[in-house]
Amino acid sequence: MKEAKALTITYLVQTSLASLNGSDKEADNISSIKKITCGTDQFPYGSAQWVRRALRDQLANLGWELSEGVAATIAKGAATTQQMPDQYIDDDLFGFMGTEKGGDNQKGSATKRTSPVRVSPLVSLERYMGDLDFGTNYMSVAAGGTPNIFETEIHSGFYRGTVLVELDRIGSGEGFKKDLLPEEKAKRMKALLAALKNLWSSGRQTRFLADISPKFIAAALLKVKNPIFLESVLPTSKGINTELLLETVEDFKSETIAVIFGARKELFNVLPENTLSLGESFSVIDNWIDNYYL
Amino acid sequence: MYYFILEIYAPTASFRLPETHTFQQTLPLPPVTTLMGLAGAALGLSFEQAMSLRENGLLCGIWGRHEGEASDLWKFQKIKSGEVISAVLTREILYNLELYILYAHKDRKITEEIRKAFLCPVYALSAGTSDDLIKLRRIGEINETDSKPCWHYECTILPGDHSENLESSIKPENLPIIKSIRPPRVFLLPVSFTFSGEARRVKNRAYFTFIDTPVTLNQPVTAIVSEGRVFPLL
Repeated sequence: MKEAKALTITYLVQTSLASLNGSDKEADNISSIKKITCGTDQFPYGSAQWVRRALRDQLANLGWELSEGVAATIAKGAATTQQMPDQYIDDDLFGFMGTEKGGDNQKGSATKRTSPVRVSPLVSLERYMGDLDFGTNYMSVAAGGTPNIFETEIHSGFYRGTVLVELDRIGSGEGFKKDLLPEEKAKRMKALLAALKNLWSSGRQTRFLADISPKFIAAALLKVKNPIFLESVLPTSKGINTELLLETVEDFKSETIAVIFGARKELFNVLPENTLSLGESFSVIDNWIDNYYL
Repeated sequence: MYYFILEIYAPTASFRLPETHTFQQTLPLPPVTTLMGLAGAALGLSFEQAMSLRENGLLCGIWGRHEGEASDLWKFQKIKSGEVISAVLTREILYNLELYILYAHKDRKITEEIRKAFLCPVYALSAGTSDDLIKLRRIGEINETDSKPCWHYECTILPGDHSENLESSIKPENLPIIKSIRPPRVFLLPVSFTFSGEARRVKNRAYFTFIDTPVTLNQPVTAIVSEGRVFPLL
């Protein structure tokens, strides 16, 4: 376990009716969702920054104090965080970039921490069928106005995402004067895993309560930093494409220390052999983390 | 000349045109600075050190294509007159990108060192932003060959402006009814920088011709031909 460099988890989520990640307006009174265009088909997705936001929010829900909303000392540019990875979990896991104004006749400086947690967008594996939810807003009627109609793009189906964590950079490196204690590194990693296990986003949830927690995961502890399951987790009409997963495991055997599959089992008829429940599989990954850091 | 080829898959990628801000257009393929940065990330180098690889004789070539595109809306907080306000930008992204990247050097030892770095990269590799994860599907063995003049190209980047030096080789009657095709595009891109601490400035720019559908050149360009693909040297 000590020779590990990275942890990768590719996961599937299943939405019944959702309007996950809002996009630019394409037409008046229609709230669009983000979509990728492939020829004549479109595939909804939640962007990587949206997944990061969801993970941050879940860390806050789990009781971690976040380092956000701090203006830099410069007059213009992007806002930044406190840039204190030793103190704040999100500065450690998600990195930062900030610039500081220089003193008299002094050059300004830049500080950055490359995120050791890489997050892919959550991309639908089923195309957008043009479905719209029709609504009427009666709020202005009491004041003598007319009802306003509006529509919202909705979609259902499987979405796939991947997380790759550079384990050797958690709690150390850029932004740290001194490495964190192994216990603290493990604690932060397990908090990230808990956030992923309970993934939930805030956008449009008041009308479309969507569960985006993983329903199937393929996880590997790796000697190299390579997200091996990136395109290899595919749902089929019966369940999960096990041949593709097993071929991937075999192809990367020499780079892999441990592999695990976890699922909400009743949702899939066909699963790889030895697939655990989601709770059990996340417990096993927690053990990998303890064995790596402690 | 010694070379090896990487086979890469990325679900999303974005190679921002430098100096674009609120609408961040992507190049259709990773430019030479990204390719050097990728080798640098594998070796654990800073960007300044990675750019010196090219000055020390490292050449690269690219063959790639993608299945789809999106315009990704970003909402972010920015500072204006000392106040934090909300702002948006749009970033183009490529979807399901398949890349074959060739690295070549006349020194076998250096080629081996770079190949070895890709077997166990120091930093996780990405196709543009840090969240554009890539999977290294295959790291090819080291081969030796000479580059040679080639006339026929597709899905690649040619050094220089070839807008007056090419003819399309596609036959519309042989294409499927629905098939997106892009004409070659020429971009003026940074190729070297001067560094001062964390800051960098563009020192030199050069023209590159991005080829999608097949073209035939009037005057050939030097390339390495391997595994059925033609890699112009950048």
